[in-house]
Amino acid sequence: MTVTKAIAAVARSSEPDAKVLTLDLGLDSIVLLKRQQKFSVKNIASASTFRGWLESSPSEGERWLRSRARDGDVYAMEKLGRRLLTGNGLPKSIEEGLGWLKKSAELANPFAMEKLAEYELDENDTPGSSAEGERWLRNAVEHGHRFAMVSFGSRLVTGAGLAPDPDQGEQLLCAAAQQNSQIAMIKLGTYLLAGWGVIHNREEGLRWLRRAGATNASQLLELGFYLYQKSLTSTTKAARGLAREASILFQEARRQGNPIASLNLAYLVRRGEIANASCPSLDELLSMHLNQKDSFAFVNQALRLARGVQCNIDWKAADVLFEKLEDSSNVLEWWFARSREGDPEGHLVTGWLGRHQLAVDPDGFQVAQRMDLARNGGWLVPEWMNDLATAKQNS
Amino acid sequence: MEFFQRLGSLVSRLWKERNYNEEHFPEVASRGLSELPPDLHVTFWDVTKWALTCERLPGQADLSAKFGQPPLTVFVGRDFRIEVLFWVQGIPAIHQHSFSGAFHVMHGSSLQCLWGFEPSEQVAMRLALGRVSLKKAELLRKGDSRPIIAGRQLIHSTFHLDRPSLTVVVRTLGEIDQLPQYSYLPPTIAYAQDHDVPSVLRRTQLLRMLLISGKRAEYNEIAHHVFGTEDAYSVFQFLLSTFELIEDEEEQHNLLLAAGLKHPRLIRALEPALLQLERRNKIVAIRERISNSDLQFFLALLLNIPERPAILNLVEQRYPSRDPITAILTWARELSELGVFGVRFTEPWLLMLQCLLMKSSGRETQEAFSGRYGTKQIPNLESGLGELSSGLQDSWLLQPVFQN
Repeated sequence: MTVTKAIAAVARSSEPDAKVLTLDLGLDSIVLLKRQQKFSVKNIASASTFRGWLESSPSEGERWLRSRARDGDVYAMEKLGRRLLTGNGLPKSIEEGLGWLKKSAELANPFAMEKLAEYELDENDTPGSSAEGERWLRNAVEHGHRFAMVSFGSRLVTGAGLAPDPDQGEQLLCAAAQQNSQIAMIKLGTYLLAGWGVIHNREEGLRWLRRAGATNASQLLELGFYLYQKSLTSTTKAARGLAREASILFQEARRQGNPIASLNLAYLVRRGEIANASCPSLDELLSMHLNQKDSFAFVNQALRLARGVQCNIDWKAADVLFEKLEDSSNVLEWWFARSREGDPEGHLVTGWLGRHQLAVDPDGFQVAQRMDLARNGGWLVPEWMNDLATAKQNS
Repeated sequence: MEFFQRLGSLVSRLWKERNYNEEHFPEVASRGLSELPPDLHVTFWDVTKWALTCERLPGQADLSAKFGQPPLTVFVGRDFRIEVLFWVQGIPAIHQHSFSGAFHVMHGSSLQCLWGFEPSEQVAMRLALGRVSLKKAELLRKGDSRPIIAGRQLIHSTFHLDRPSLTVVVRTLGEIDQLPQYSYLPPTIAYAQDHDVPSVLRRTQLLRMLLISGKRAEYNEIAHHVFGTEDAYSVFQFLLSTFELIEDEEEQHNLLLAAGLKHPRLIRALEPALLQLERRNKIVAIRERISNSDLQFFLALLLNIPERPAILNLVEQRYPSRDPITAILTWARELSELGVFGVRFTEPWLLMLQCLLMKSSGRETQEAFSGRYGTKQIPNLESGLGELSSGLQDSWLLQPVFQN
């Protein structure tokens, strides 16, 4: 049978006997046919971290980067610039760092352009930095840097570092998403979910998130966690935005019945990383997990009591919670990593675990040393917290 | 083996009459295969049993089994040899040959595609950019023979449909003036696979090692430097061997962006070829998991044939009594039920697929939907159908059935 014959048969084969009043075209899932099953939340959330060769051999690493940069390797120029600008692995030197980044950017490296834009928009408060940042961002977009397109769009939607222009921002994000940028899909979905800079449209937001690979509550949670982890290594301004995006995903995951999402939201609220007004109270977020004796909930509750967040400060009650911790290994893993990033809360929890002899301090610090580091970071830790807790041992 | 001794002697005699001139060898080999067709004289089991039990095998060529799974040399003559190639996995490799002769389908069946290449830039001896396009596609059945012409005159892929498939190849040992032997990546690349540069090969292996061991960040860190400084052929090989191991779209994009700074034309040409290669490998993997022979055939078409008319033709060739569009609709439904698309095809999707395959106009499509669902009362039907139509045509797997 030929094709032309078949055309005439459409009406015949489309028997009208199955007439129904509603027709679901399944447009929500048609987009999934395009993605070659490539976008998974797992991919985006499981990138390995690499601290680079400077950490394994600083002098050799620096020599290598400098020599390659001098020989014209634009990516060595960029990496050297990044490290000098942030003080990551090399003594911080903003001027020299910017110099290398500009040299690399002038040789058309879009990654260097994007970094320069980030610096000008998020870290440089001098007059004209916003315009300079926007210029670099535009250049990076023109050189095909898709993430720069996402960053530009996202800043225009949220007004981060640039005068808001939500329509243009949404257009840029859509263009990047059409080019298969998963992160653009996530951002669009998140903004639409919360009505952040764009008109609230939950269904459309969820559709974008599904396209990005988040088809259920636990994947939304994972995406949120990924964004939050990114915030930990970002500049303060960018971190705030990422934490808010994470919280939107946690809220949606919670709405879809994921219990862990409440715990994550509680963590963000307690730390003041997102506005309280947009979330339920800490009591509501934590109560179920406290009843289930969840270790993270206990530590969050203890830190809340120690800081007096939505409650009175009560170090004794907080200390009792640590005494009741049943599993401390995950707690140590998370908060010790925070201490490594210089977060005083990380020192406090690591020391607290040591005080109750729930974990051996990985750096070999005494409890009192950890508590001092927490105090230096603004925690009003009572002196008695320097001592080892004996109650549990005696009982 | 006695039969191949006879075939070898016949070919030897015919070629001697032509003064061992390579130009005549395709004709000589074809005549030999037509006078003594292997499929009428030996079976798959005869050859296998003989090879495993005979006192002494002829000297074996291609020990690393680069072409054949495995290749078995059954006769060695003056400047030519006869091989039986076993195939257990269909590989849609498009290639030319640095030898000439003829091949014969002895067991099973194959899908042969003839391709053309219009070069636009010879980047290096081993690498050229241009346009790879399908010229002809045909089904080869047991007993069919085809000539092999050395060089760019015959660029083809022979995808073996059955497991195992066996081809008998009567070929010259190699013709120096036809080197290098190019392989092709549609739609844009020709490259020499043999005679690897040792340092490029070893570095490729090291880069793969990083990705296979989960060291993505390390790979990205070093790859930018390597791609930004090495020559075009090296960068091509590195990307060819590692791209599909990078699952994250953003990382893939950034790598191409980094490499494109030094090799913009290469990367512009390579990007669509890499995406097709990734698609091809995914389909090969799906095909491996599926045992239904009809679905295997359909997947072979989606894998090898980039356009609708040729696909419909081949379905008609293979299943003369079936309507090709109905067959494709059935197979699409079955594949979706097996989870291949990651989402199950609904009735409206299948109706839209039918309309697209029939090249129905927008009005005809609306009428088909109205006829089946009485949708005249449903608002936004036109835009909904438009979205459904473009969504289906965007399907990574079904794309070729919509290409004219």
